[in-house]
Amino acid sequence: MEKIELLAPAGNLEKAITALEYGADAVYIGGQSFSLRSRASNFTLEEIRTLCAYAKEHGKKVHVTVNIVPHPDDLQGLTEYLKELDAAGVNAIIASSAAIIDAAKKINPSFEIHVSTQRSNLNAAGVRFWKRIGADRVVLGRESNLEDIREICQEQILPVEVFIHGGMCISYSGRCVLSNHMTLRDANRGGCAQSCRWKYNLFDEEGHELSAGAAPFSMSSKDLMGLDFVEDLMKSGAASLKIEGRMKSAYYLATVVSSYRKLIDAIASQGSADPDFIKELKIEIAKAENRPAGPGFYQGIPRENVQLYRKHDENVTQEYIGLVLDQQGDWLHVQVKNRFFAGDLAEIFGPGMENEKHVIEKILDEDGNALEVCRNPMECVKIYWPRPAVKGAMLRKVPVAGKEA
Amino acid sequence: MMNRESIQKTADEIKAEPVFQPAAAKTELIAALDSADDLDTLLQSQADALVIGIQGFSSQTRAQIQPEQIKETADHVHAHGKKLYVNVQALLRQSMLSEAQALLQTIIESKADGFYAADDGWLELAAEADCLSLLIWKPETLNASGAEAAFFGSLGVQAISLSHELSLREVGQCAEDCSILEVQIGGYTNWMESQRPLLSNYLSFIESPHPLQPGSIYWLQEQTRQERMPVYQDEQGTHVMSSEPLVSDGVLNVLQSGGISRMRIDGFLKGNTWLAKQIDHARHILEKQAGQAEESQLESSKVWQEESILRKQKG
Repeated sequence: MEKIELLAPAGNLEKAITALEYGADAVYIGGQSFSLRSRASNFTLEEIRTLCAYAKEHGKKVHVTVNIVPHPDDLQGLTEYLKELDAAGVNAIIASSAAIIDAAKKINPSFEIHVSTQRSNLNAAGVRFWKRIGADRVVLGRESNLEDIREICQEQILPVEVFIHGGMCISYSGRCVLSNHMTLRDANRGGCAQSCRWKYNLFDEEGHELSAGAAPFSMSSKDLMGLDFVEDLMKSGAASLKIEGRMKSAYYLATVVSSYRKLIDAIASQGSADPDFIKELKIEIAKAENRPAGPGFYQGIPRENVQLYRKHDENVTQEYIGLVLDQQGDWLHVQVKNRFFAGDLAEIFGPGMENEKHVIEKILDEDGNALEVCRNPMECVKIYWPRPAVKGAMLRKVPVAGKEA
Repeated sequence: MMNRESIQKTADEIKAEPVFQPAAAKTELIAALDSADDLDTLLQSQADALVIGIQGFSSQTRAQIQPEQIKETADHVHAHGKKLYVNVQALLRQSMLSEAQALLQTIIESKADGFYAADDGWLELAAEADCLSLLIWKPETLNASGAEAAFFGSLGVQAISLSHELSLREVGQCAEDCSILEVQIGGYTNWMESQRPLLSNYLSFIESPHPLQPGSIYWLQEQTRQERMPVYQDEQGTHVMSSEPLVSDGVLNVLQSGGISRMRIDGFLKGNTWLAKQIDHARHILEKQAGQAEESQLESSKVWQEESILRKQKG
């Protein structure tokens, strides 16, 4: 089995480093120009340079999305920007526009180009086309099923990247203009208003309302949860498993990335996935997810059980309460993320360590005064924790029945 | 080309435009049929070319024929001095690839004059079959700049159909970079295309006593808005169309003098009779002297003006 890349999203430098520390082989990020997800923080060129240096030092990679579909005026400054990315040492750009791909190749013929999922490539002919144009990888459309992916990979045309986890467009990506027309926000230039997820009434040809008295019509999909398909995808020859979500939190990334990392490593070493282990990982990921998830297209065309019609439950079962800055003896130096109390049951997880649950017995402020509660995000405190932990580990509060969360 | 912002720009730009000189070459007017049954209605019109879908491979059309009917249809259309293009705009799943290759050979042997495609795979299949000159590249909203169009034009395709989400000024900018552009000037445009069977999924979820009627058009209305969007489901998935048809009669001369040599009206949901009238009306406008187009008083224009730019501005 070829080594497969685990590719994680990151909306800022902190998230990128978190994703890499928790096991991603590469991160994809957006710069402040030419990138979708305009509401993500996005990186300055200086931050991109910093991240590239960090990644290189740790044997990791950085892909930068340059994936808008440009209108004529949007192309101003493109060449200069691509030269800056090239000089910064990014490992690849992800682009959907042939004009952008062409510009990058003219700047540097060895500029690594990944063709974005926005082009909805679902077949080997599309991959052959992009090879002929000079691309280095194709990100397949999320509508690809396992059999299609296997067939495309078998042809060994170019490395193929597929989505493994996260949000799903209900439309073919890049081919939806609902947001453009309903809100004047161009989805292909970073402004998607997710109009597909709004509530609609449905009428038949004669104008009779079919949705009367029922849940409103919506074009909202459950997120993708691909743990069950990692083994098949690794055996199919896919080059990269991509997690969606440049807007997601560092906590979410740490939880999801570490889970897929553990599964990929287990399959690589044992040759197959243990179903019980996959169950454990699903429970782990559920601690950070707040949208229901399903198999996407991996088991075929999604039916109604893979869609959302009602307000989705906010079902995060555990809350992120602190980031471990370091450990001195029996005390953790922790940056507070959300309110917690002395006496709360907490679970710690981190890069290279097993999850553990313990009661927080004592908390001190930075002057050494005992605290009953930590309620100020970003405040630094000390937590008594007489067992090993690692810098960058995270603490979650574990709900206990009958106790205030 | 016709979101509200661009519509306002369009109106302002028209007022600011100097007198345009009609382009020397005749503009090709293309009629995308709504039905395969009364194709002859369009043969009597002033359309230069007709577009018809191929069952299993087309998108956004109810006018569909089988691959084995392409030759007979092409011969019939050619006998009336017009071109026949086929619509194979559906995105190609891997499982469709070998059938698509066979279909391409049929298109070539049938002497159809071109085919509309939206999937990158068709670019490769056409290159491998050495028939890129038949391909009309129409990946909907992805063709949004002159640089993009010029890139695909340089591959040797026949024409590039531009995104509908461009303003008139942007279309003009694109035309400076590419000379083989096509724009849709009338009819419904596509707003969303999904491989999922969204209508039948929903009807099943709410346990509706009215199961999906194949071939039927449904309507979607966002709960805080008045407009209703046509939506339908077919073997390719679910398609949401624009709430109103596009109308561009006030800007046809601007497009023509700006270098747009191919203009298409889509008859989808409106019928072939409506389509033939709009084609003839557009031809009339294009052949009139610049500056007089907006004063056109053709009978058909009254119907057209009801769904015009002005109405869309009010919405």
